[in-house]
Amino acid sequence: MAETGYQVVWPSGKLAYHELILKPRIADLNGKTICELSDYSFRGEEIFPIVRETLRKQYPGIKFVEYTEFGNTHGSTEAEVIKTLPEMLKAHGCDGVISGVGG
Amino acid sequence: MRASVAAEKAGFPTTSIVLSGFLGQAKTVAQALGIKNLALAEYPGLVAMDSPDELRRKVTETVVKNIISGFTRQVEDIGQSREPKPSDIIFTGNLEEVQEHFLKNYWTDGLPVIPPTVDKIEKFLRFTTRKPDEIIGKLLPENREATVWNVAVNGVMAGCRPEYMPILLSVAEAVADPEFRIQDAGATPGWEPLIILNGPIIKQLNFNYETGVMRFGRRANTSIGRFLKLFLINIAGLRIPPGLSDKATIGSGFLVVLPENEDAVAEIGWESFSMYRGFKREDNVVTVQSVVYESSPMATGGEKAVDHLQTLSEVIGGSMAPWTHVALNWGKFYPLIVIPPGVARFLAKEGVTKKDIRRYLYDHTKVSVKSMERLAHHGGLTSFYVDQLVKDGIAPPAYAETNDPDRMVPVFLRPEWIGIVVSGDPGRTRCRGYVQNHEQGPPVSKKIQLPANWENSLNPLNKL
Repeated sequence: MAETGYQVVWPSGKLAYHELILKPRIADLNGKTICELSDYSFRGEEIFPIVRETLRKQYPGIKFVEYTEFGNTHGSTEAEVIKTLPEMLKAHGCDGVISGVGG
Repeated sequence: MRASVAAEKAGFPTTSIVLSGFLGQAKTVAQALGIKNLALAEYPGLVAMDSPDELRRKVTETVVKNIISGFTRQVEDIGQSREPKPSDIIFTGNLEEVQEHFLKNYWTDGLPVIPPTVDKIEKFLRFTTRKPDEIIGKLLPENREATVWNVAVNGVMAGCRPEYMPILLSVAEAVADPEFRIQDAGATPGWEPLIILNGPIIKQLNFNYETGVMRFGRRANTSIGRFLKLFLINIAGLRIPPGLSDKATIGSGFLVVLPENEDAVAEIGWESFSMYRGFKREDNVVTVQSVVYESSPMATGGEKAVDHLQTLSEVIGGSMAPWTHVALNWGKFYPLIVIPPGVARFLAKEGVTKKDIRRYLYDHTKVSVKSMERLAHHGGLTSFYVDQLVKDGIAPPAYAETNDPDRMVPVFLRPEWIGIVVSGDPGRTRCRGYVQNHEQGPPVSKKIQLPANWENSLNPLNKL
């Protein structure tokens, strides 16, 4: 018996996002203010101080706003932290953000 | 990643420190939130295993270099690829060719699928008055639209009957609800969604709610459980390798639908699970919640109700103790306990209600703070300290009544958060617990909407 040919449709769905055009990056970190965001996981409490220390050696004028200023980005307060983030980053005069640690 | 994306969307160049094993998932999550080329600074290897000196070496030699590169690089415009429309015919072939095509495109769960042809999908659409292009929600992490049409497509593929469509739609609504947090379904513990079913529809569609209730075998229980797996693969984009978004360390297979034994619950005068969730006994309701692991199937026994409750606390409740730190960190925990009708009937005869069971479990099931903190730190929650969580108002005061690290504290965060379903072999006494994953996949319930003339539309062969 000849086998039927099946004409099948796509099982997935339309993408629901528009791609964001990123702002230009930072050419030189000297004199810039870098804000830290932490999920309080994966030894971020050890990693962030070493990052600061190392970047300061290369860029003596760099400034940091530590992650404790912003709250936990992955715990029970995540939604509230993310909601107020743009305003908080602006208030601290951030030029760039280091977020971590994803795992 | 969500915080990184929020920062970029607000106009702040961002670099994210990510462990090696999560680079792929990080890119996928960021892309689905609209950022195709989010800067990532890799921390090589497994940070949990590194000595302080090794950690310092990796951060100074690799992570910081990646951070600088992330801030100073040129940004490229990658562009978006073209995709089919819902009813486009994307392939024609015989049964084997269709299977190979779907496997090659990672549109299956590894098992053969029923080819989703338009005529089959239209049979499903006859069991709803909703328009095929109605958007039910957007499913992360891949951020695609769930529609009535693609619910039907995945229902066909899973081997569902067309009359299951009202249930499929309610299940899709539940997981698309932002409260459910489907974006977390690829987390490392590897949880699976469990569908709990209540209402007259259980018997109308011949679901199994007795012996072997959680086994494969009955079409309704099994195919609807499978539908959800396929739906999450194809719409949410949750795929194991070579996919990037399902990061379950070990994981497990999909769960069949768990119906409650409505007759038994009504007979003994207990509220059904759906009534506990705020519905009427006669409503048809699906509830979907995460299951990260199961307890042993322990038999309860004894001449007094307290004998049974003691076993439920010691064994079923005790098996949930290793997860209390996770629950406390996120402030949510909705474990589920399945009790067979014989045990439920005995407890009811002794004057015990579901509420009494919850209270007993909350009062008697404990875990040490020292154990919780140790397990939390090993699992990556390296800043988890119970006293701090109480100070921050995330954990209830009961967790810091003393500062003794060996103090015993409740396993269950709140008694009213413990779900109880009566199901399984009426002639046996084995109970089982299902551990839920904090804010990821909390119970979300949806009432099933049936089309007019529902009962007359049912297939008389629907006894298989």
